[in-house]
Amino acid sequence: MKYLYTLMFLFSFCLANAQAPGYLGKKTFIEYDLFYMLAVGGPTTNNKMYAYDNLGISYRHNFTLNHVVSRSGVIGLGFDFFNTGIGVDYRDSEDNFQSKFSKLKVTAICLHYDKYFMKRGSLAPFGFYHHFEGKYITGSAQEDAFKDVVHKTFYTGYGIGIKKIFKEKFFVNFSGQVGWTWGDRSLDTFNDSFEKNVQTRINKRIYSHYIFENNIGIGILLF
Amino acid sequence: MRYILCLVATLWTGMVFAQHQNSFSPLVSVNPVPDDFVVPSGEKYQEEIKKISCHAHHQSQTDQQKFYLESCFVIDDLLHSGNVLFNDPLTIYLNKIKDVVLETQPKIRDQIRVYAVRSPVVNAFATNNGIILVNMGLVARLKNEAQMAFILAHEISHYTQDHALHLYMDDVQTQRERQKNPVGKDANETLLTENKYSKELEISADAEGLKMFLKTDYDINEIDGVFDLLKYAHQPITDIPFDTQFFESTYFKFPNEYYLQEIETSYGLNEHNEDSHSTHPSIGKRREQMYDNLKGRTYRKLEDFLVSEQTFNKMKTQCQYELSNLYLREFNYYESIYNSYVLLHQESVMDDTYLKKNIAKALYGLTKFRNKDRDHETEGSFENEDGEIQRLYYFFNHMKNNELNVLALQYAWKLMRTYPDDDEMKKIANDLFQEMVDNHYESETEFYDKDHAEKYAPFNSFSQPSSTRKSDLKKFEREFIKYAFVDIIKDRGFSEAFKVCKRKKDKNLKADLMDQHKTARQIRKETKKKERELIKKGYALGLDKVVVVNPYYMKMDFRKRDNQIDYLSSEMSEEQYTKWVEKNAKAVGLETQMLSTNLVEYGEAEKMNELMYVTEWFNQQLELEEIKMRGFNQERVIEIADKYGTDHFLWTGIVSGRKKKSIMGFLTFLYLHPAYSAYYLTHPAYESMFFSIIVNVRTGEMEMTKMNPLFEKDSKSVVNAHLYDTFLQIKKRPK
Repeated sequence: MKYLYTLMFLFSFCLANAQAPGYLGKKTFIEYDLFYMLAVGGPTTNNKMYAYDNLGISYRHNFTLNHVVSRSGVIGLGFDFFNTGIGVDYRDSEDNFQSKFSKLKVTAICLHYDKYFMKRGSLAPFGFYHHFEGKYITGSAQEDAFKDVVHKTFYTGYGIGIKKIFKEKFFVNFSGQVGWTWGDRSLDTFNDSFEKNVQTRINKRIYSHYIFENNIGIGILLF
Repeated sequence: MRYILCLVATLWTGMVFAQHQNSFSPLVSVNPVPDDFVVPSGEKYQEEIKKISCHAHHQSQTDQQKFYLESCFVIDDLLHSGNVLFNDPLTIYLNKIKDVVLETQPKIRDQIRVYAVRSPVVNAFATNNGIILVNMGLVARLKNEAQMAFILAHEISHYTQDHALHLYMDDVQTQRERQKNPVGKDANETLLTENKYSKELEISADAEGLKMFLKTDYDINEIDGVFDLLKYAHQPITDIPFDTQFFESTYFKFPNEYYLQEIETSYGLNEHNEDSHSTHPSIGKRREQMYDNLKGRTYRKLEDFLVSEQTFNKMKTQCQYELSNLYLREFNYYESIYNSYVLLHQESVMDDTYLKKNIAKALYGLTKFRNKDRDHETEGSFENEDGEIQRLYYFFNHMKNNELNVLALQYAWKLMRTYPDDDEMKKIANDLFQEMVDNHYESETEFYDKDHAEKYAPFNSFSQPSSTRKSDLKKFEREFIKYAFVDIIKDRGFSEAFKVCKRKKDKNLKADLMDQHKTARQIRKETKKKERELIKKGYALGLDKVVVVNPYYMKMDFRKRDNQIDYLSSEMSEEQYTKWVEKNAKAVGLETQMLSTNLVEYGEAEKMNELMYVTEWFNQQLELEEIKMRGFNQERVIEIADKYGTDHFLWTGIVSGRKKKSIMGFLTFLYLHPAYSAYYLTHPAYESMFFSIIVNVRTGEMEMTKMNPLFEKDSKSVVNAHLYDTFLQIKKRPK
């Protein structure tokens, strides 16, 4: 229930500011973004093991519901998901050194605010914008051996982008984004507990996934 | 009783008639609106290019197309400027003279259309499509109809011989040759070549015009008068002595040193001056050529007037009266005062109120510009003038700022007293009062009243001193300005006006003092904060209706030399933009009234007149905003505002152009965002500017000034988004 209250609170000020033209009065839109980045510092979903030697591209899918709150501002609530992989080195119960790959499923609830460059003639929701984003990320390893380990963390990011409308209703979005995932990433394979070890691996993977991304998106104006 | 009633009725009729006779009204256009003003420029262009011979060289065809394109749009811009009149008495009269000149050539007669232009410059010119424009400044100086007939014949010859096209083609050819061989000719040489050809065309037009003129019954001797007119074109309509007594009263006398005793006699322009840098031959050459052409000819019956002498005199007087106002419009205040002065000293004065009001307005303008140290924009030196107007220049050149302000106020105050219902004069007098208190005198005690004047003023004029001692005279010369308000200082409201203005001054000073305590950083911070607030929240004007004046659209190509204008595309975009304006205003529930030259139909001459006044007023506002001066012709604009039921007028438009792409930009995107770099590479780059200005025509205040640079294409969506936003801000009620 508290999440619902938080959402209601966040959207309440959208309605308070009537001086938000949107696009010809249309202020709400949905958007799908495909983020892509070089898979550095870890395996991709299809890599069985580390991808240091191979150039791979990782993807992330993002769906958002957005609302224009002022002439230069848009807030949005989104959902992120992507699959990737982690490789974990650990000692098993018999103190043997093990190295295992696992698929990693990551989901996130995102909240963002886009600030449009009014000095460059942009008017929310189209034109150039700054993007500020916060996420609550959940990453869970899919391998049976790690299944009980779920890593949760926060993310803050900044991006810059441009949205261009076409056919009066649709738009494309290009943006680039950098971000920081919170949490402890110091790793001591030999001394850390198994769970800590997996958690750190997941965090490191998520961190390297989110640190710099490019994006192509498409969206539709609703009302 | 019956006789008394009859007498009263007769007197009343007489008074009404007298009033009618004595009131001047400027010329305005009358229905129906001619095709020249209604048909879109693009359509005219399509018609014009049919004239191009398909056998012509390809380059020549392209050049001709360019010429017709530019000329169609430039001429239409002029026609839509509000300065060109149609179906008014002057235009009708000029067309009648044209009909006489072309009596034997009915085909050409039907092709030529003559229009009067509201301009004080002595000029007439012909366009390639058969339009001849005659400035009021020219008509005001003509001696008779025969002179006008010769000028029209000359201009008609330019049209029949296609001079505009020939001149353009020659110009293009010369430029092209220069580009091919840049070391061969320098810019000066190219200019001389172009001017030489232009002069040949003028001589040719004189000769052809003469042939045309000789077919009429107009007096051939009057042609000489036309050249005299050109010789003295820079001078006022009449050269009469200017006496400073015009501005004096019983006790208010200007010192002798303000009066120029000797003037340089005017001999007009040098007829045989060096003309290599001019597009026209010297007057002397033209005169000689004309005499050569006339040698050995016999003349028939000679007439100065064939259409109507009475109409000529009426139109000439009308134009002379118009000049006073036209000079004001061009901030040429000295000329305006002198023109009104000359007309006030004529035997029969048509409308002295109008002339006096023009003088008051000119003095007001001079004062405002002087007090803001911008007098160099409106005033010239007497040394550059010749003739009697030198005295007027000398008089004002020598007058100090405080003296000019006092003189302007005294003149305006007296007029306001004579015409108490005149709001415009009241506002001017009040503003001049504030100027005086702000800049020069704060209290009425700084001026003498009648008692003091009668007691101490020992003479009636500095130029005619009585037996008063020299030292006393010098003292009074020094103090002459203190006698300015002797006649009005006891007027109701005069003393109160001082107090009101002083209070306002103190209030402003207080605010300024508060600002002085702030550091430059604080002021910058506050200004930025205000700007941020405005960008974030936008305006909230709370209006229900606006008059949209001439929605504007210009498409350019910034990649080409001189940022080439795409005329055809601009016209189409303007039409589309007008529709978008209406659509978006409707979407936010804002009522609009369109006042656009593009929408004027055949029966809407009134709209053209309204556009003329509104555009003229707005241009003045833009010029005068910095010096916080009221534009003239305010009453007419308010009448228009009353008619449409709103005081708020909107000027909006877009200037958009394609620009060069930056290689650095592409490389940056390629590195940071490869997908966007592909988009950047495949799409042309544009830059646009969207503007919207809302002016309250009653207060003169600009309530909204939006200038949005758009770093993207002016697509339908982008333009509509900005229009919608603008109208939303206009409509939104302030909290």
